[in-house]
Amino acid sequence: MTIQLQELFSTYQRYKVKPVSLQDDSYCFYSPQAEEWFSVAKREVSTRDYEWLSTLYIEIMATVSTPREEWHAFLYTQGDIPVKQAAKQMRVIQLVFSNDSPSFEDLSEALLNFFHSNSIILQASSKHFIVIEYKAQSINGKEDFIALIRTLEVDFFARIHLYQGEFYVVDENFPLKFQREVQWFEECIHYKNTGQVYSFEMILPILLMKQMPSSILQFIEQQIVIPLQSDEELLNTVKVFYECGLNSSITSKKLHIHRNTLNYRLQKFQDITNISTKSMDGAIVVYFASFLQTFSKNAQK
Amino acid sequence: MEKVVLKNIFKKYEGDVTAVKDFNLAIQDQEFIVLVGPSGCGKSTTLRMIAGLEEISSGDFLIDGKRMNDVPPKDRDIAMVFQNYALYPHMTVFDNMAFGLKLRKFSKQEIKERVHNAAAILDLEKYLDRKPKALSGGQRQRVALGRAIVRDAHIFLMDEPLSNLDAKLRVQMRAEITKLHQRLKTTTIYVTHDQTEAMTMASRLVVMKDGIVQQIGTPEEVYGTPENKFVGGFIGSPSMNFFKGVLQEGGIKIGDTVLTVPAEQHQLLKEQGYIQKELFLGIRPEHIYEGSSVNLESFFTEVTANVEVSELTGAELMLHTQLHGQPYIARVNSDTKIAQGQLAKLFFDMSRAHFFDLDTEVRIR
Repeated sequence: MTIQLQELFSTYQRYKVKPVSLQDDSYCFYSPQAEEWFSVAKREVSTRDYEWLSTLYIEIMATVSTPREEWHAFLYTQGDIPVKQAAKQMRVIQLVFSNDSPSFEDLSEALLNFFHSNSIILQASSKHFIVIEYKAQSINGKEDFIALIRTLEVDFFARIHLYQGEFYVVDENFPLKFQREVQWFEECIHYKNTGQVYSFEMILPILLMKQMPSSILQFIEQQIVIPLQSDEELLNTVKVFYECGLNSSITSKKLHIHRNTLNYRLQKFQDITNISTKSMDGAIVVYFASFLQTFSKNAQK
Repeated sequence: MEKVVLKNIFKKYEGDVTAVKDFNLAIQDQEFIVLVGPSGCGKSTTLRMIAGLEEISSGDFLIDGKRMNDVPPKDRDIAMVFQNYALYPHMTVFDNMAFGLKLRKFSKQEIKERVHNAAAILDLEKYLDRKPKALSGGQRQRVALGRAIVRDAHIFLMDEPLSNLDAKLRVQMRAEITKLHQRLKTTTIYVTHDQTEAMTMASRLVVMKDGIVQQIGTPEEVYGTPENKFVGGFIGSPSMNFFKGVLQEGGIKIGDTVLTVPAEQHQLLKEQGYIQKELFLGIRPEHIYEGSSVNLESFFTEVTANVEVSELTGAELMLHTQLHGQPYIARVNSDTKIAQGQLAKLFFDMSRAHFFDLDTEVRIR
């Protein structure tokens, strides 16, 4: 049968999977016997040909869908890869409005005046919106996202959280990667509610913490968190010291304490925990201990 | 009636982080209030609670006597200006200023009038067709102000609006915002970490640290009579000099130098049991004079200082030195020719000195 069709129509094309988009100048049919799809140019198909083709096969009607619809179907309902963006590098920026739901039309207008006009804006739920952005047209970094949040706050009067997704090639794995980022975003908001712009770097320690064997968690808790319980500012002081690149002047300025007080606290921390405050290894342990301290407090609530 | 009242306001985040603790403030109509303090002190959080962008964990927030805690942000009649300009890069200046009004369904005519009025106030009329990219930093910040002005709101909230500008422009914009406030008379709450900005712009200052209000007062009050060592050190540039010393009959002993304490002040300290106790002496750099430029008063104490660094800032000379291992700065007239490594005869005007408790760091009065 296939061979015959090929002989009948020079524009005949066969597909093992459903074509991602249908051309306006072609007919597309599904063959239940062969479990495959084929298309032929309309110019080659007479009225009589069309009649027998549609009797023997199931015609796949071309539906005109907007990029927004295509992307919605692709990300949420296992739809086809949006053909225009297939194989392109794109990322998803997620926005969650925490105390009000803006009108989608108003927000779209705002976002398209911030991102490149080729970006695609979707509404995932009443308070969850996403922007799909081409890598080649992307805005720069965290500063830009903070500016975006502030701009929207001024006009929409809502507290906004934003997740800056990674760039991925648009292929069949893209929706899975997106769903993973949706989950990460939820965790970021849950565990780091004071922030507003999130990304993978921020979720990584949380993910590691959650997957850490209980024996290691217990060790950190018993060796560091519990001994420091009576002097909670020590852990925070050391954390800030690492965040300030081990610079005493900047740290004492940031904490608004005298350098001598800082040195005293660093020494006391070292005495209690036996962890060097001058090494990268120490920094990792301190970072996790600090997280664990927050987790413990949350659990007690 | 007070325009804005914040009563026993607390902000707590999950994980027991308390960003703002028992914040109390009553703001009069048309006041220009500046919240100032180091980063992480809770000033922006307080502003965002007023805006409704952060929930108030406990306490009462009132505008014109009406409790606003549960009023949606958009119904609070507030306009905001942020550090990051908060502009849409692909919109013209006109559209940027008009967008908020458009969302609120104002008529085209009304939008046009309001935008042109605001543009006239801010001297932006000739830039209305430009996009933000084609504007300077100062012009962009004026557009951000314009976005707030067009709303005709009862309260302006400004969160570090000048921090993105270079030093020269910041001074210029500082004056422009002050002029704007004098013209519009809108009650303004302004957040900054820059004490100079705070001192020059505020009707009243609220100095904060670790989520706690340290002092509320006019710039003169806060500068002249700091409530505690933190305020004394934070407000003023260079900051107040502090020395740890022991109070004795007649003066405060720092190392083997005794600085005379004026009788009235000494009596007060004595009555509070500070004799033979350690305390902090605070004195501003401009209250330490160089020998050749002063008419000596009885409460001036002479100290010979080895000048470690001599910085000429233009009209003034900053002499960095030490008193028995405790560093301090004297701000003297630039006519004084004292170079690094020279000995200087300095006089401490002890009538301008402050004393702080060693443990609580509160000013003794």
